Amino acid sequence: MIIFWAYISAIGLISIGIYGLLMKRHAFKLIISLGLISTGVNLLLISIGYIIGGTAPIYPKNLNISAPMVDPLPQALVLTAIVIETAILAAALSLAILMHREYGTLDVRVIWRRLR
Amino acid sequence: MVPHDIPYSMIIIATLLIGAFISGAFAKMRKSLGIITGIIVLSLSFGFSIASAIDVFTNGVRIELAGGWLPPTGINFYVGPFSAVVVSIGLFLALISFIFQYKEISPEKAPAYLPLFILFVAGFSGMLYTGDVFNFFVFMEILSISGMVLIASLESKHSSFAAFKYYVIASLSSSMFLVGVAIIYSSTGILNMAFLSESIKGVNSDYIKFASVLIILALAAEAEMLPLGLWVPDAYERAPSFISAILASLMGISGVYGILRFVNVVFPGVEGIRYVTTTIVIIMALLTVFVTELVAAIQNRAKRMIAYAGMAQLSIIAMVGILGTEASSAASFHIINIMLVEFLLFMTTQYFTGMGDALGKNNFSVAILLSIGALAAIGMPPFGPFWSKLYMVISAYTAGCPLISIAIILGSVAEVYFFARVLYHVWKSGIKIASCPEKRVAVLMLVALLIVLIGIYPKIVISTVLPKMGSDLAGVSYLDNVLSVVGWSL
Repeated sequence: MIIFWAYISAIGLISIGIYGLLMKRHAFKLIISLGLISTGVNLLLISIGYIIGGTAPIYPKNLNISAPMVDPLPQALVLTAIVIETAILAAALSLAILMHREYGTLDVRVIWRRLR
Repeated sequence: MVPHDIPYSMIIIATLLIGAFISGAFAKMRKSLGIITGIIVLSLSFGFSIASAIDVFTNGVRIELAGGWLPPTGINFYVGPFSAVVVSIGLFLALISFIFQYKEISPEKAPAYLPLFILFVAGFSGMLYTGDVFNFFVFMEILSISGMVLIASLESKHSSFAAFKYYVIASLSSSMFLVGVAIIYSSTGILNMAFLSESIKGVNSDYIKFASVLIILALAAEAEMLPLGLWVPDAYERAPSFISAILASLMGISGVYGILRFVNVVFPGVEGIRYVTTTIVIIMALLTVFVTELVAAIQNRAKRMIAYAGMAQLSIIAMVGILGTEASSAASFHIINIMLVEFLLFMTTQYFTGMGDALGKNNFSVAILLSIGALAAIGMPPFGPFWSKLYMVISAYTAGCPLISIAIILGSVAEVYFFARVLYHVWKSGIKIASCPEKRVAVLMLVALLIVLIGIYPKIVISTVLPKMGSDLAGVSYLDNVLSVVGWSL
């Protein structure tokens, strides 16, 4: 059941992101939408590796493992993906600052018109 | 001739990654120190890439294991003839562009700018070398983040918005790639490309088909194919020319290589997937060729026009590369040529300063260089692309896809029209060209000379390098090579 809800929330996050990407015209909201999409994808990756009742994939000292362990690889992947996303987010926000400095607005439609 | 037991690919990537931060730290003290460090780092990795290419062509494919872990658990780097040659050319061009920007970078910008440039090259080399799907994703992100910032780095007019456009598309495509990887991993539990190609065969093919669509679409953004390649014209036009040159010759090629790796190596074992992957690639590529060649013809700005022309060439390469071993040889020949030609074209357009006087004595050499680039891009006989275009037309026809041959020919006809316009403006009237320092002319002449030499002696390339590069790009014995390291055989 928990995996089902994880999938549902992942798809929900991705859908909200896609909605924002299609409907919003403010650069900052576009950045947030893309952030939501990638968070949804990360949740999807984590839930793929989850086993019901599983524990953290760390070997205890006495090697007395009672429960099955969850798949550690998706977690490693997501950890990498989160770091990458943070870098992208920081770069995108600084681009937004540059855009605001150049055009005085963050409305993509207005900037688009000025480009022509 | 060169030592065999050195892990060249990892040394190249490690040199670039470490060197990026060292050059940034030195640039903080003094700009020239940072530049010198960068030149040393790029030259070192260029030297290693040449050594690895020599080794690959004498001793065969190299499989290098990261940390000594055996695949499929560990990450392996696959240094085949194709990646060895393309990385060598890419590092050579990056080195030239790095030296060229010396004066344009202000001392305040250098500490942030220089590391980004070197990281960009590291991402490119990593994408071509790696044999692991997730590792490929990481290098792709290194490439796209640094590329995105490089576009806006000098704050030229409208460059921030062009970079933002690229950010939206790159971010979306990286999410799509990750979903594709998640589907593949959930159905196989493997991320190594070679092992994946074997274990993917027994899986429900509908899931894998969906994943293949997502992954190809994601890579199409990098490979400058429409509809996701819409960021290209703006970005290449607004970025400084030495950045456009390096983006055009490295980024697109890595995207096309990614598509061909996945279509030719990872997916082909799945039942009925060949139809899906080839259809998507050919539809997107044909769309790109027709739209971009038409739009390029009505452009008035040279850089924008060259960007469109480059998009068309990359799509042609992607189409031809999926048609089998012989066609892959033709595609890899065109990749070599296109990298050089695009680089030369973008590097020379930076001396356009607007409309004005006819040519003087001092800018004569720039006009010559530009003309070589333009004639080569059309596919005129004494230059390299003529042979590669001819080779592609013939091999696409013999592979049973005359439509692709026709697209290549029609594209060249359109290119005759718009590059002739450029040549007319350069030689007859119109564009004012700034004079270029002699040292720079000499370096660019080297690139032009390579294009001409390939054009005059195509047989040397076709008979020595291309067969191995082609079979590598087509994925022939990829799995066997990786398995031989583990000690297994099928």
